Amino acid sequence: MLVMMASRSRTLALAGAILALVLCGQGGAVPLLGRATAAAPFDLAALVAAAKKEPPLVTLNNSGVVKDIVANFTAKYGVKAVGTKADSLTQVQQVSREVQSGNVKLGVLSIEDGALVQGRLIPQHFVDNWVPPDMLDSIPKKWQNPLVQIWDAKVVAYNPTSYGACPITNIWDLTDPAWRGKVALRDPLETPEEITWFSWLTTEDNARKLAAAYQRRYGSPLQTKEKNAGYDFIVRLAANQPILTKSDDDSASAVGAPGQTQPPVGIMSLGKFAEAPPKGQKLAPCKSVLPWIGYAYPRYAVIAHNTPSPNAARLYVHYLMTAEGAAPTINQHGGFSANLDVPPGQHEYLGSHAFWEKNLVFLDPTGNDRAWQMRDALSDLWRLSRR
Amino acid sequence: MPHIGLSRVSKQFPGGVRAVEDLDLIIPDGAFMCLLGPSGCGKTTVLRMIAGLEQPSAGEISVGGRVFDSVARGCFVPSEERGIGLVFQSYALWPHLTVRENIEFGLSVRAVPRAERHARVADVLRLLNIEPVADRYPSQISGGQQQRVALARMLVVSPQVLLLDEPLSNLDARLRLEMRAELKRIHQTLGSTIVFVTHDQLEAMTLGTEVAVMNAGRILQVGTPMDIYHRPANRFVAEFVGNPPINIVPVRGAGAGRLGASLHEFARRRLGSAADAAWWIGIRPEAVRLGGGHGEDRWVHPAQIETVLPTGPTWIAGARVLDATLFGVSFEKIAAGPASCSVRAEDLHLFAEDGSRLEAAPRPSEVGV
Amino acid sequence: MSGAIAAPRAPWRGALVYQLQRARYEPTVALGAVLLVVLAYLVVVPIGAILSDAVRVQPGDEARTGQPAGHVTAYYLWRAFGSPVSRLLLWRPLLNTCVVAIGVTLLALILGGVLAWLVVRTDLPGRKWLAPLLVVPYMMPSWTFALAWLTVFKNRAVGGPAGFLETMGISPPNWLAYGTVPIVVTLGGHYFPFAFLLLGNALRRFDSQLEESASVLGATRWTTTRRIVVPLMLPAVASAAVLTASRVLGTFGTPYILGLPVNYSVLSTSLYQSLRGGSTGVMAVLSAVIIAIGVAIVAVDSWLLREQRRFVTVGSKGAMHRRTRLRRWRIPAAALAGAAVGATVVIPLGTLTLSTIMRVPGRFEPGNFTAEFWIASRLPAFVGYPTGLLRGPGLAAAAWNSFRIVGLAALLSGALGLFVGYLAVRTQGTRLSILLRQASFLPYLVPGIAFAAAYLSLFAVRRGPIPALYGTLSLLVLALTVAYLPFASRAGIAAMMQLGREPEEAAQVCGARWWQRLWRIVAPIQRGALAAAMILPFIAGLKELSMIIMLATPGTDVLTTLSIRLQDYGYPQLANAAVLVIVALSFVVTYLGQRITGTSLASGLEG
Repeated sequence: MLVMMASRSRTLALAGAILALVLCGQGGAVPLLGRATAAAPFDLAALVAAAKKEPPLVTLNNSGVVKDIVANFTAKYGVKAVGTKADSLTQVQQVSREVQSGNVKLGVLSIEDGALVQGRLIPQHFVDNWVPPDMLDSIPKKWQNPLVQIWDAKVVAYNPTSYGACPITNIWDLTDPAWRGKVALRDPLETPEEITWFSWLTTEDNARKLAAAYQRRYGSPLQTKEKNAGYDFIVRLAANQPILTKSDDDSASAVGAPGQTQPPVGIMSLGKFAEAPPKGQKLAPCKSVLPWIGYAYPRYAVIAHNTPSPNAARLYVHYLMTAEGAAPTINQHGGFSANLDVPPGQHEYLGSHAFWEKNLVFLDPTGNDRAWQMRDALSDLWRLSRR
Repeated sequence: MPHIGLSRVSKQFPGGVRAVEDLDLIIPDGAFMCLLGPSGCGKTTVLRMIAGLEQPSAGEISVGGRVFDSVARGCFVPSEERGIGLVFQSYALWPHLTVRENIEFGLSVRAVPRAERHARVADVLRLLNIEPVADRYPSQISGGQQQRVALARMLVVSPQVLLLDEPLSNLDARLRLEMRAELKRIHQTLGSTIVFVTHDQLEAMTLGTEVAVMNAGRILQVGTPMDIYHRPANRFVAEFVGNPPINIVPVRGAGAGRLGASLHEFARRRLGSAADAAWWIGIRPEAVRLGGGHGEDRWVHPAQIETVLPTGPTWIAGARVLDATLFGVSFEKIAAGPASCSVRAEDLHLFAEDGSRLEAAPRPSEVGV
Repeated sequence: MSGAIAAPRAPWRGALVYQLQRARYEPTVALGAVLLVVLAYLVVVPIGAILSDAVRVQPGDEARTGQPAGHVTAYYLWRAFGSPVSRLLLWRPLLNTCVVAIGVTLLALILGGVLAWLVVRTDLPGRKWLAPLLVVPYMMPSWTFALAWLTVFKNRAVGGPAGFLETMGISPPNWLAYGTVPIVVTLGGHYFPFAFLLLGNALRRFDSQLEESASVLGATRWTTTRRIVVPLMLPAVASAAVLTASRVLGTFGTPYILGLPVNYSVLSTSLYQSLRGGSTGVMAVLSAVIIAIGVAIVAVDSWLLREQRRFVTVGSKGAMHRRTRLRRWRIPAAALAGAAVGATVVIPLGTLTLSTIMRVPGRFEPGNFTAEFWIASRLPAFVGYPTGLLRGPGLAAAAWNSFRIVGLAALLSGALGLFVGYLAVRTQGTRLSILLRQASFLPYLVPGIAFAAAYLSLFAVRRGPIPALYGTLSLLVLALTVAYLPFASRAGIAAMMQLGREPEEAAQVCGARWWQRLWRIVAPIQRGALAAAMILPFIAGLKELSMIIMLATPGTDVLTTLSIRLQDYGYPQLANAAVLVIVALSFVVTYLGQRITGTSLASGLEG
């Protein structure tokens, strides 16, 4: 139903994922309530009861919205939980060091850097994947390992008071001298999730689309020393002196701050559009950019290995996948739950699912292995291409 | 009261400095022993070893028959169990305690009952005349009072042995004299064995019942002050003790001159074969008589008095005799000019090539004391 | 112990038994040995661990290096020194570090030197007031000035709310807003008190008769200055330069705030990025480079100090202090000194304060002012910290953590320092004493950020009896304790040297056992020294960032990391407010410390 890469390797990965899921579900040292088998029906009440006996759940989340989620979670189940905003690298550092030290405090990571999760955290047994057994059918299989909690998107945004319509119509505009020093995005070296996006751009399929868009923009085919148009785009973007920020908040204020005559454009997550009005920012998403207006990226939910609160962690993951648990994120950020039974949120800046499918690259978990393998090379490419 | 015995004690500090070498010393019960020597001679180290603050590298130290240190036999008694008092040169009073608390400390760590403690502190405060400052802090009292507190602090625990490390060196002349008398009185009152370290020969001679002269980590002579003065065991002791210092005349070897030859010839005549081996002849200044003095037993020679230094009660004169200068001291006024210089035979100290005394000089009993 | 006569033994056995008997009553040597082992573990081993990480395959890098984890590899060395990205990882940061270090040192020396001369040697009006004020910049977190700078000069080249000037329609160029210029200026403003104090002390000791005798001999003023003053001041100048440079080497906050927006990195920020990126091996290489430079700087320092002995006789007690009459330059000089205080204290703090009460920075309109960033119960758009700073539980928790961690570390550091001092002085003259001194001084050579990196790799897993400490407060406490140990043990050694051994020996001959002596004599006498040895680490710890940011986990914010995190989230008003809270606490603690110990912080700054 959504844009995806059909390949044999994906199928294999999927099969492996399901196998891993089953093994994982049986291998834990903790009392396994809600085992992922059809024979043992999921017993939420027992999970709640067990979770209440455990130490407070500690959870990290890329988004500050975690405060609200945790508060609602505790109010609903009476299970204590502490939620902190932390970027992916911090989460990875903490969970890997905690597990290595045997001094685990963490419960659930809500983390965007799927490549790290799949390339490092899961193979090194720093985290475990767990899918609520009662949702096995409503979450698409390919989003189950690691478990996608929510889909968010990063799109090109502009300042509607300065520009009547979006000044970016082709993604190559971002690399054009006209926009030199006027494209804001998170620093890929600080937040390597951006590198995952780069890795998707370099797949043959997407590179072809990029090359076609280039020809549409400049009228002549792309001439490049790089392996394909994807790499070339990365090199040109890096060389175009983009404004590198520490967070999308900074990107949003660079683009949306009032009183600018020629404000930059930026690539930022959907949540910024909801946050803009109270901050006095003027922000709007571009709705028509060739070949895509941006990319959809998942936020994963995984459980720290040997967490002291395994049942609370599962209860929390389960909660995240319900309409109630997804609501704060969807309402503040936009996006939609990976549990397709959960209806899309009220902030629908980008229209329907169909619109997403057509206009966004989907960074499916299936591409994580490739992204992880290419991460260093692409980071170095970015680094060395900056001027 | 016990005697103190040091047997073949050596002390080598880290870094190889040998402070004490193979030292034997017996301090009799009840003695007031002064360890006398130039600074750096190891006397303080000996004291600290007796107190248990330094450990000998070899040898044995015992007090009253109880072995405190024996390296070879592996015996060790820590300082705090030796029952020895030590008064430091710097006094080392505890600045955070009052005079009374300073004195009481030794009793309180020994868990002496409170009432007895107070009584004994009061006794010592009275003995040393420091009652008025009992509740002040060390920084609020004078140097002399600090000295008394340091002493009181040790006396209060009635040590079997009291060690004093140059305790008077920081006091002015008047206080020194007072404290010397005080120490002598305390020694007589308590009858304890006292070991007193000093580099001041006057202090040693006046205070000690016995004096041990040390140099370079060795004991050169032990004896009564009169013994040390009148029968120095070697040249070093002879030169170190006495003020103004002894005249030393080389009589053999490169340094010997005409005065030496004359004295040597006289000594051989009067003192026999022992004088043959003499390399130096020592003459105490008070034995040098300038003007008058005749007789068979005297060496007499004309001299020219070149310098006269009146000290008040005495006159010190430098007299040119032949090719050298002899210093004499006299209670009668001396004037510059020609005079005859004479010395009695028994006042000649003969020293061998290695500096040791040659026993042919008059017997001590014959020396006019 | 009985002194009864024992049977003769073999000589060596007797000697051994003798030494053992002694050790029962005199545990200093044994304790010193134990302490040395502990210090070796806490100080030497972490440094060894980081050096070894630099040449061993780290877990997760098997594919990159083609070797199993733990194998010896040159990959990280190649990556840092020789690969195409080495230019960005090491060489350019190294160059930037050198430029910044030299620039800051020059600026600090000129500023500190001129002010020291004005305050110490001239009749400058108000100099009594100036002296303590000029030390204030050092009492603020090092990056305070940087935040203030950004508040004014931030332009559109980076995201987030713009600075005052940008809002007012003046767009500051990049070179003025970020990178070398502002970093040098702001760090110079922070570190010049070192030079001010060191040069001030030297000038105070310096005998004006020397100058006068030179003039009497017919030397011109210029010749006097060149031939007499400069050579005599050189050691103090060199010491101040070395001290400043070594501090700049390890400083993190300022280049992080002012450098990264324009991709300007120094060694410490490059190290931090490597850590965040999970490149433990490269981080270890960078740590080793920083340590090497630190060692080189300290070596220069100790060489200079040796040279300085030649000049000790200069500052005799009879030195004359004749103040130079400024005459018509009095007012301009006073204005200059006032401007220095203004630029380094009043303006940064004023700017920060102003920024915390403005919705849009730099828009000076009545409706734009608000107290909500301090006291609002709900800040709608601030998801990470949704209330005013004083309202949120975050500040209280961070303040409590700061006090807990830093207080405990200062206490331990002070006590440990005094104990090191005690043992080093008691075993004086032995190799043990020398080793104790050296081991406790070693952390001084290692900039905090590299030290923290070493602690991360050492205590990440359980090793022998030491449990893994990652994620615990003990790790922070331990790291800070050891990092501040050089200051504390230096103070401890000085205090013990001054005390001498005799008060304790007096107690010993009075019959007091070792613990009685320690408890009833040494400890009470050194109470003041202990307090002094704790105050400085405490103040330094309150504003410590580089180590804590490496070791603290998101759950355990202290005040400094809270401030940096708020800055990262793009809430500059809250970040600045948090810095102001730190400054206020630092002032209060300094004031209380000076009241309690009766010493001035200024005297301890020389470290």
